Amino acid sequence: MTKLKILITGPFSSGKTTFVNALSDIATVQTEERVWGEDAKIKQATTVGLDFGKIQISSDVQIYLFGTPGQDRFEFIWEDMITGSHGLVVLLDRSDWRSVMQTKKFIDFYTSRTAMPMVVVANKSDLEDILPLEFIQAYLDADPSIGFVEASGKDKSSARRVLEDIIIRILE
Amino acid sequence: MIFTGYLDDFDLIDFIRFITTMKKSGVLVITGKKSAKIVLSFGKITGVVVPFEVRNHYKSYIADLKDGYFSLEESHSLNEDEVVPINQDVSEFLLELTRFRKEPSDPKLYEPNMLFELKPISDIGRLTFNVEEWRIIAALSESRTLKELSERLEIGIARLQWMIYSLEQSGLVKRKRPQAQRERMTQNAITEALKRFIGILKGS
Repeated sequence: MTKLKILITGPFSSGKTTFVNALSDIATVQTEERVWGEDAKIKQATTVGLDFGKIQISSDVQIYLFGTPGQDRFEFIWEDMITGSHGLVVLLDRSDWRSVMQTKKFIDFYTSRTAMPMVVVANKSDLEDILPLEFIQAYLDADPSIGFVEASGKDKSSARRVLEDIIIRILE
Repeated sequence: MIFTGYLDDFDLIDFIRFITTMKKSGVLVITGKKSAKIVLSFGKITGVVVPFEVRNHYKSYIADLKDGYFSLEESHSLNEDEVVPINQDVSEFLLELTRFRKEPSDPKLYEPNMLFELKPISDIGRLTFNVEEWRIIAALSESRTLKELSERLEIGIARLQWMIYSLEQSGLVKRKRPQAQRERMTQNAITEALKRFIGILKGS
């Protein structure tokens, strides 16, 4: 059995768990804990270990999706999860400027550590009052080898387009 | 969208670069132990308001703002007499602010093997750099690791980290991806299965 491992990362509340849920063939494994303090105003629970989902694409090939925790106190996990990965999807919440600023840290982190194919996803594009794509791209100013797409992780077909993009980059 | 937050969570220089990239207009009001206002017009910094006694060294004063609440207010009335006018490129203004900083806010992100390169900025010759900054910029005409730069320029890694950080915060330098060969999908069965899967996705 061959396994293709794709990391789903990005800042707190960027939609990683929803994204893994939208794509996985199996009931996803989640490690959510209740949120306290300032972050609780944004959402009630957050990933503290990892989210795990699986897509069976043929009898002998599976795609494993690993969602990382978003808060930077889990930075040690981000580094460990690079090992053995084939592709990286970085999600950001384009309805929240904080998320866009924090995404720069994620891109810098992974850009400095791995040459694996990477796609940045301007997620939650279905929401109102979102930041324009061209300004987000200008601010992030990511390496040209990194893809940039917009999506809404709640929409399964939108999540699939992102998966398609990262797989094409892995195959190239 | 409301642009408010605390300087404990966001570095002021990073935030200024963010809102200038977003071509925002308005007044960035910072209130805390020390207060200041930064006037923006379509992504350009056109003025600052600081206490009268620090008007002559407003850049070091602003660079030193590390706590407090900030808010970008689109309709904020100002007394024009209070405003110190600024007619300077944003990158140069931010670079000057970083020069007043004593240490990087996030030095752990820098490791000796990280690659850096100069951003393609057409009017870089118009900006004012000190000798050390020019040497780094010249050496970065080709991408180099921090370690290579240190050896070439004979500048200690710690000093170089700080200077690169300043140039990066100012939007002049960026990190480059490593060129290491990545593992290729050479197994035909996997490649074929993935291609079929892409076909299924495209068809759905």
